[in-house]
Amino acid sequence: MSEKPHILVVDDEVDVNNEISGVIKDTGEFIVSSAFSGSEAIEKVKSGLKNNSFIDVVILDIRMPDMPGTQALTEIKKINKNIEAIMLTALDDAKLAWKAYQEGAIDYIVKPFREVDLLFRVRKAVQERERKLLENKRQNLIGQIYDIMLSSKSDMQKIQELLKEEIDKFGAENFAGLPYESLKEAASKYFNNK
Amino acid sequence: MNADKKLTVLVIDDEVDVNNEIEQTILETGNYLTKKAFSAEEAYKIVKEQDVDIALLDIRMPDIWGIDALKEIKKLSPDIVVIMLTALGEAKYAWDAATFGAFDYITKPFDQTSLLFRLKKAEDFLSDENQLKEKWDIIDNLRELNHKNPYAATKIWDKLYEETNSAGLNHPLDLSLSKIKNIFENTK
Repeated sequence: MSEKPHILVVDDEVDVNNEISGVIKDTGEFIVSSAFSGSEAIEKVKSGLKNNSFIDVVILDIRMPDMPGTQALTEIKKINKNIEAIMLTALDDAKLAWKAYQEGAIDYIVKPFREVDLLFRVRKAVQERERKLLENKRQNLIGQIYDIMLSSKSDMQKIQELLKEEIDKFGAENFAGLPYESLKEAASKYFNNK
Repeated sequence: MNADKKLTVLVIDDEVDVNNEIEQTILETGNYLTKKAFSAEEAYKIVKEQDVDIALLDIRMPDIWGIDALKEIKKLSPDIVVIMLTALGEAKYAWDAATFGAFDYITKPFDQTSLLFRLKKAEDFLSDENQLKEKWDIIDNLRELNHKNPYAATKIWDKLYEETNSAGLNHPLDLSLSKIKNIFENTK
């Protein structure tokens, strides 16, 4: 995520939608857009993919006139499984949030919402999305390092020496415990010396 | 932590009634074991000497500010998942706690659904982390195997990627633990 994280607020109640969007926008930490139905949200997620304006977190009302929030969640996850979803529920509906969690939502907020709670959940969701993206990059890099190791004995020796330097520097148990930046450093040195 | 073991939750709150009520709510699920501490010092002792997976930590205690206690607990046992307990007016400190490693927070007076939801999230997080560690340990055997039998190591690696691609996943670690075990045991 090079730019500010993009949050999509989905609630058919215009006042609630505006209030939530306003609180998030006022922090200056996020780009915020709104949708007022499940189908509009699905369209925005789709067009975001086409226009490279990826949505990172969607805040999704659990009860909307055109479709239940859980259905919108399933459709959104089908389009982009990496989007994090926070459900908005009335206090009496909190049990529905459990269902949404089992279907892939990361969290829920009870309406009427408290500002501090809303911002905590949004920041946590963004943090989790960044963590997952970095972990994916890290795992892909480890995959490439295994490919190098398995290609020849001399390559294995070279890359292992470079990894050992990083393991000592970082104090990790083994190379799988290294952060992305350390792995990148070892891989870059390997490719530069090739 | 193995998959069948019940997780241990340590409740750290100086208010005896609140501490007991939280413990009771957790015990009634039948899913967790519990321990109680009524001061930070008591909590450190338990964390040092016993297995604790999740800590519920009051942000305001007489002997210490909860965020300082959080730092100490994380120092003593970095893998413990800490959920802060805050009064409504102090929820603004929850994000500060998160920057020092708190996993989540619950406001007091707590509602049962919220407490159990936050615990379940913590439990799932720990289970994912442990599964990932276990997967890494298995996959890391490839390096060892590559010394002894490079042909077999390459075959397993190719099979892992074949299964990853056919399932539309990004990386072999996205395969289930049982699938990875199966590939290691059955690829000849």
